[in-house]
Amino acid sequence: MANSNNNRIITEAINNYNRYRKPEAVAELISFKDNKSIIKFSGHFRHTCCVNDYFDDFVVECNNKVKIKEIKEKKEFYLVEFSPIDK
Amino acid sequence: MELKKINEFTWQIDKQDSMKVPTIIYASEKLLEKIKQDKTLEQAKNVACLKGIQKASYAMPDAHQGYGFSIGGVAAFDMDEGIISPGGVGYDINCGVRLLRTDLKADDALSKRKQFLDEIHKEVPAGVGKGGITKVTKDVLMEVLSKGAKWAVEQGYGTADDLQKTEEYGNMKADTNAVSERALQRGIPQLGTLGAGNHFLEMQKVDQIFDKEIAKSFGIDEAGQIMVMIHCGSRGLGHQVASDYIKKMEDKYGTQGLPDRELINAPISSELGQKYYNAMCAAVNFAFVNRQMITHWTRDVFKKVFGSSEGMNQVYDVCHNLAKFEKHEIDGQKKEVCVHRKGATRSFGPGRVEVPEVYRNIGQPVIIPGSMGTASYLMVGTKKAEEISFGSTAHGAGRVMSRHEAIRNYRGEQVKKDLETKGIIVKGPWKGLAEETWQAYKDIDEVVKTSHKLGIGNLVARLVPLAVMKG
Repeated sequence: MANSNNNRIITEAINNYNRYRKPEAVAELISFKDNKSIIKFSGHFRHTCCVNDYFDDFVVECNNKVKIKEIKEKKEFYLVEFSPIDK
Repeated sequence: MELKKINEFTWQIDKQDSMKVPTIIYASEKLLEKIKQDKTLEQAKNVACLKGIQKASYAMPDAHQGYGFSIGGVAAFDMDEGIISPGGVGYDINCGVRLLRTDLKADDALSKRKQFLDEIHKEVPAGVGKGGITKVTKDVLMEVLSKGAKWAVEQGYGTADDLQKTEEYGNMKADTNAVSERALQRGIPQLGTLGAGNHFLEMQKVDQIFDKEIAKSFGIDEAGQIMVMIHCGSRGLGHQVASDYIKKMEDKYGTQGLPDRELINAPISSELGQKYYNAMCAAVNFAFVNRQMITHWTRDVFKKVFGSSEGMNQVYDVCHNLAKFEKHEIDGQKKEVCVHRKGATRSFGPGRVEVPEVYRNIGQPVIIPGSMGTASYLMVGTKKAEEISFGSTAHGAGRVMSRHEAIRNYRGEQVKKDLETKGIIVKGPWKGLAEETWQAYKDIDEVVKTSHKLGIGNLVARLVPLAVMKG
């Protein structure tokens, strides 16, 4: 997937994700480099069951064109790294 | 926000502004102080503003902040004038708990606990990104969503007795066409998985019996008896159903007039309301199948480790997150309403047709799981609950510390050591162990004591963990 195309997918996914989940879960682009994006997830979803399903939701918002590479829990949020799926 | 004390365990926010009914909080003073620390009260008050709400908006003793509705929130809506809200059900639709009894005694089980955990870890897929070991096609998944636990039993994953002892008998009538392709695709690889987060499979022993007669009816003969508790839900499929219908309901009905946009809803009687209900029922069925398959593998492991799974019968399976059409007495009349229970357990007393025949003279078993390292409780449903909480009680201890705080304050290795000191062995990711450490939950003893004293669930037995597999 080309860099610019992936960036566009991530940006649109963040908009859609936030539209239907904010303030329960809020996605924010932290960095986009070498086709890998790091998204910050904050909100009180962190205190509910099945936290990882919220990150899977983001994958779905990207039309399953990305995959989760790494999940890091920080003080008040999660940092999740996504990379494109090579077809 | 003025909170009026009604009695030792009941607090009320009177009807005001756009509230259609009052808000009632069932909690001891100690629990109330914890409830006040987040937006639980505000959320319960917001729910009281929704169309068609009946009697009151309720918060159970373990309530805490959720999406739209608080977790531990209960509300019933008129079938014609009322609404149905995905936020009132939650994302993990039919997250629930199943309890199995065994003939095994703790003395016979202790030396083989580690082997049990190792084997169960091999058999039951759990943790982040772990797919199911049973591969299903889309057609088979549709059958699962339609038949619920009955499908699992037909495939050899259980018995007819299991179905009898499952809420809704393991199946809610669903139109599977209401489930999106995305939800199906998320469900296919996750059938029969425990998942990650606060889900678990636990070997427990009966620590204390409060009501010998009822305990006996529930299959508990004596202290020291080994039990198994399974806690999981509908995974990504349920999550996707919630996401899909929140979007659809917003597109169709908007958020104007709502006290909180997370309370997006549709009239129950509308086409969209009915579609959500059907998709939710399909997700409920998926979760029933998950717990049924895990039950089957647990029995297999018991046979392998302890030589037999004879007598390993299901006590009951209860749901925590769903909306159901039930008849309740309102203003002296029996009336069908749509009861939302989000992080709450049904607690029906004797006589209800929904309670399996074998328990109908007693009331339904109510299973209240603790967190790792804490006790869990078996209770019995009551008529009082039907009168004052639409037949509902608490669902578990509730979280008082954020996941991060739990991780920061309690290192997984230390948690494991502490639990081992208490005689509990665990298997799971270190981080997961810290997330679910018992200090992160409200005092479950206080929660069940409050339920019992209020009479919305009576104590039957206390169960303590011996071996825990964390998702």
